[in-house]
Amino acid sequence: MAGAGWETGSALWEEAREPLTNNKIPPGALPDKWTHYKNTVPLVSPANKRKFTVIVVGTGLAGASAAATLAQLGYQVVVFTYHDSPRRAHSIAAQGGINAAKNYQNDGDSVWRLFYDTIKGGDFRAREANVYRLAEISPQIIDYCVAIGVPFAREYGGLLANRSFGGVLVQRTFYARGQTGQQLLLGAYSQLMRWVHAGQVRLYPRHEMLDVVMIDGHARGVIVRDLRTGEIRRFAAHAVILATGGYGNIYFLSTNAKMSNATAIWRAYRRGAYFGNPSFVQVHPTAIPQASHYQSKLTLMSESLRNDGRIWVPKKKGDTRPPEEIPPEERWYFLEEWYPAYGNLVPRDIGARAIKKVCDMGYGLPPTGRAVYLDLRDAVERLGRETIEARYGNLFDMYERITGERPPDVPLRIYPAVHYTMGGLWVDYELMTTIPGLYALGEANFSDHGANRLGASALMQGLSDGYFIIPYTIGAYLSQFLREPLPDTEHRAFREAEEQVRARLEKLKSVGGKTPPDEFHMRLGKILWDYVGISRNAEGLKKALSEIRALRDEFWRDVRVLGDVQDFNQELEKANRISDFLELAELMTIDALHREESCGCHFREEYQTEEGEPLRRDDLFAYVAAWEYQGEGKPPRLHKEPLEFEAVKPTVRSYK
Amino acid sequence: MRIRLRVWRQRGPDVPGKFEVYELEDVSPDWSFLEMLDVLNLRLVREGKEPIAFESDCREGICGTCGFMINGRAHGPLKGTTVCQLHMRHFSDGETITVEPFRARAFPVIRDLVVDRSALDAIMQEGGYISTNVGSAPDANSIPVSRWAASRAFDFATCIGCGACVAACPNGSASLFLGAKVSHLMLLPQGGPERKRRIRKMLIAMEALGFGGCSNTYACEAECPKEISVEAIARMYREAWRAMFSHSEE
Amino acid sequence: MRGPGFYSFVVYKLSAALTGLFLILFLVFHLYGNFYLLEGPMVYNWKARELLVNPLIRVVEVLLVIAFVVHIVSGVVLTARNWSGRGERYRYVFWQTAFFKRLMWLSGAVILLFLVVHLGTFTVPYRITGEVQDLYQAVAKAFANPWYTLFYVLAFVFLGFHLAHAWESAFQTLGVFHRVWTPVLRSIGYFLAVAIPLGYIFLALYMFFKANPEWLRALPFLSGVS
Repeated sequence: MAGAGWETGSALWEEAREPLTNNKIPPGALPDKWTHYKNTVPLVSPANKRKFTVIVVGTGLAGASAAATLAQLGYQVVVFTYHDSPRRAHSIAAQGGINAAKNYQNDGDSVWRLFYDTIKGGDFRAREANVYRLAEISPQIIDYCVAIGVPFAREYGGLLANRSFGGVLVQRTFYARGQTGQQLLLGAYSQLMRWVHAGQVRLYPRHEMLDVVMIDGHARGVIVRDLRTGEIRRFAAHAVILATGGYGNIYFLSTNAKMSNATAIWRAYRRGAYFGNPSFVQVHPTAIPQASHYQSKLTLMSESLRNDGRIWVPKKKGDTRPPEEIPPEERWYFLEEWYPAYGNLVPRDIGARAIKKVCDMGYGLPPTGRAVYLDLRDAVERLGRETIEARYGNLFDMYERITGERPPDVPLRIYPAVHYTMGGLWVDYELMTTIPGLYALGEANFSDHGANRLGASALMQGLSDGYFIIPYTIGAYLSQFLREPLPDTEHRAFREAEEQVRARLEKLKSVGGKTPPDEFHMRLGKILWDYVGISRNAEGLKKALSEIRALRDEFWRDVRVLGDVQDFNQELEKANRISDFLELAELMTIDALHREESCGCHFREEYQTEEGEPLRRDDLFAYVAAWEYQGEGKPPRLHKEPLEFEAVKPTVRSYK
Repeated sequence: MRIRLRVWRQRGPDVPGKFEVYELEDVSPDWSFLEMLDVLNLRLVREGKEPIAFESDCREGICGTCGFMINGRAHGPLKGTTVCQLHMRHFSDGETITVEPFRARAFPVIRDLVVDRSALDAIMQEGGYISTNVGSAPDANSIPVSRWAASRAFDFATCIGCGACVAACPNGSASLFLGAKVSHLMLLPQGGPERKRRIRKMLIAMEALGFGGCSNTYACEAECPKEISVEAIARMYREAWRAMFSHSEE
Repeated sequence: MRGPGFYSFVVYKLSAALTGLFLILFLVFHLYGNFYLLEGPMVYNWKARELLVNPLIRVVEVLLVIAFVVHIVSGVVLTARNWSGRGERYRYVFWQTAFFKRLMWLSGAVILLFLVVHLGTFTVPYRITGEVQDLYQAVAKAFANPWYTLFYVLAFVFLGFHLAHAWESAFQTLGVFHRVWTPVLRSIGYFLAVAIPLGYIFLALYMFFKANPEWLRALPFLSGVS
């Protein structure tokens, strides 16, 4: 398990000879592909659906919506979540909204424009067909969510309201105050509850998936641990869906929830599912900076603040005067200076990089040097206090709760924080991983956001995957197994998988070191933030690689896990997740090292223009990096899925 | 800051629990209450002692996973705040703080401060939804909903399901939780067709699960981190009368 | 899910609320009647007799008995249910809401005790057995006893606490909730909770001091007043 065997100097990865082309993209012109697919996909009759069991792991937007919809179709659905309730997943924390190409505002929006904005926002590192389908489905998501009682904001006339969001020119974002994610998740949760009540879904809260069970090369079940009792259990199915979210929590300090982890997708990777673009991590520019030597997480301040806020630092390095004593001419509005066209409204990746840059130059705010001001005082003067309070009052409350200071009289202190992972399990057009019968939905897959995600599109993707895509695509797979009974959980594959899971947990317990698991997590996070964070270079990445390996060795020598495997044991849960993070960190670093270009969130210092702008290298890197696990201590194999742009032409993103 | 913590330690639902006292030096006022517990747990693990079990996830006050009693109050003394958003600057140096799990008959203790709140999900399963299938929804703008109704529905839909209302209620009742869901759905035209069936089934479930009834003390409203009004409970009663004095069986 | 019956607690709540509001009405009328004590024995006894022979009073009496029984049964059942919902009690108790909101069972119990005594002292002897013919005399005799008066006063203090929560709670149970009118209703409730017991207590003390004028003189601030 430890990184032994990877001698320095030996190849860090191998490359597959053949390109990865089996992405099942349907034929036809871009706008017709999904229709064509739906018209030709094999169907499963209602009588046969009853005979199929599908496991869904995770109950966020993607998981809950998928489970409910599959249950509605008549499949037997088994759902696992490590939370105490299926209403807790971190989808709930999304603030801003959900995009949909409804064009209710008559401002020229269309499916095409949403598609184009998304693929451009992703810096042309996503698949055209997937992104187009996402845009095409988006209006249906809004229809359905309204029908199940999501209380979106409305105009006086009773129809839905929209607002605009980061870097787009139309108003297409639907929202429910600052809690859109919560309302959408509770909507999906309510449908899940409905099907649990109908007996069509069997729900297992406080159950964490620890392995995928493979029979004859197909995913046929999972091994889970009942977190309440510690019991390890086997569950069989005809197909397994992972909707387990992203792995941003690998940085320890992120805007993710504390329990968010990579274990499910990492164990799937170890069973043969390819991992797509693991180094694509979105850093959000406006989070509340770290305040004390120990901090457990970072909290986001909505992007919408940048609509009225101006970002600045004092022109004098280390200026300790309070902000109100610094006159305007001594403030440096660096975003407005560097990006006159978009100013404070540049996309997330660019904003985050600029903030880090001024802080690295020594202009960051004392005492930590890792914060800049986001100032709404000019907006207060221009629009009046009342307007600003009405727009952002709830964010000010939140800021005050955390920091003890209340804007807008004092500027907010902000700093970038890890927020979302565009990378994830590689999936084809049907959302199936390279393991037959194993699907990945939502943030757990790599699919739609390329190298950078636009605001208000994560919710869209999760629900589109769950409500509208998987219900169709899973039939294509299941229809091949009409006579196949549910596998017996006494099958050798189940016994072996359970044994491996148990062995790993016992091993964690038996290390018997002195250091709590969390400390390794914090140290890992620091390494990744420093070298595999907002900007990266080959030297730093190599250094990160050796530090990660050293840390992993130390982990397996010195971690202390108290309590028993066969018991409620939060330390064991953490240690187990961290042990997977320690392996994933290495793959992220290798992926970042191999991609010798700058694109979206991935900024390689060696590849920038003379003005310091990212340099994308479409001739060499217009592909998805899909990594294949080769076994313990062996370098991963790189498969390249070429990205062919038929409908759009990759351009240089300019926000100047 | 120096803090003296009295924490309820309990191995399981049927094992008697007791308070353990922990002295903490160097508590930063910028820590959240949970971060203070994190730091204490790191220390306990290093000392080879079993860390305090508590639950949390998003740590930004929206997921509803965290929650326990601080000095007898659900989520602590600050109004409209979950424990994960409660910072140590609201306590004074040298203070003794008593921490207990949420208690109610319907919430058995699992370990220390972790309780089983799945009974809330069980209530939701009985009718906390609109039975509309994916694929059959009309255009989102085909049914106008007044801005007021949408906004009020949102006020009730903002419930995070943390269970503070149940914990604070002298009767361990889930009336505010149930009322909030019923109110959210009854305010929207989409929730209309099932309203009688919904209220009947949810109320029956609430009692069957061991929750007490409402005695209108409004302790729930005072402790709700989302400050949901007891109007939700008035609406719950109204729905019940409506269903009770009507013949139609949905 | 099978429950203990058709939303039982809501049914009991409704019963308690409706009967409670009816009983408040009764309290007001009863108080109105009591004020005839100020008019002296002739008028008081005559009014009491007039009431007794009024045929309408039969109906009201039946309703009253029903209301009391339903109210008491609902209260007992709800209290038992609610206690069982609590489960294990908190070690560190913080009173989130006013004590009288939580102690309806206690104020209810005291009122019930009072009711029994009251029935035994006046209602039954006058109305049923006919032992008492001169009601004014019976009242005067009872309140001449300082212990009885003290008990009476205390009972009405508890009634005040009971009403302070009951009024608002009854309307909440009936589903009446309004941003403007609910606070107004609440104020009315608090007014009634003070005014009704105060009226009864005033008359009790009036009768007591009338029978024991020396106690009045003993009050230091009243010394010198006749």
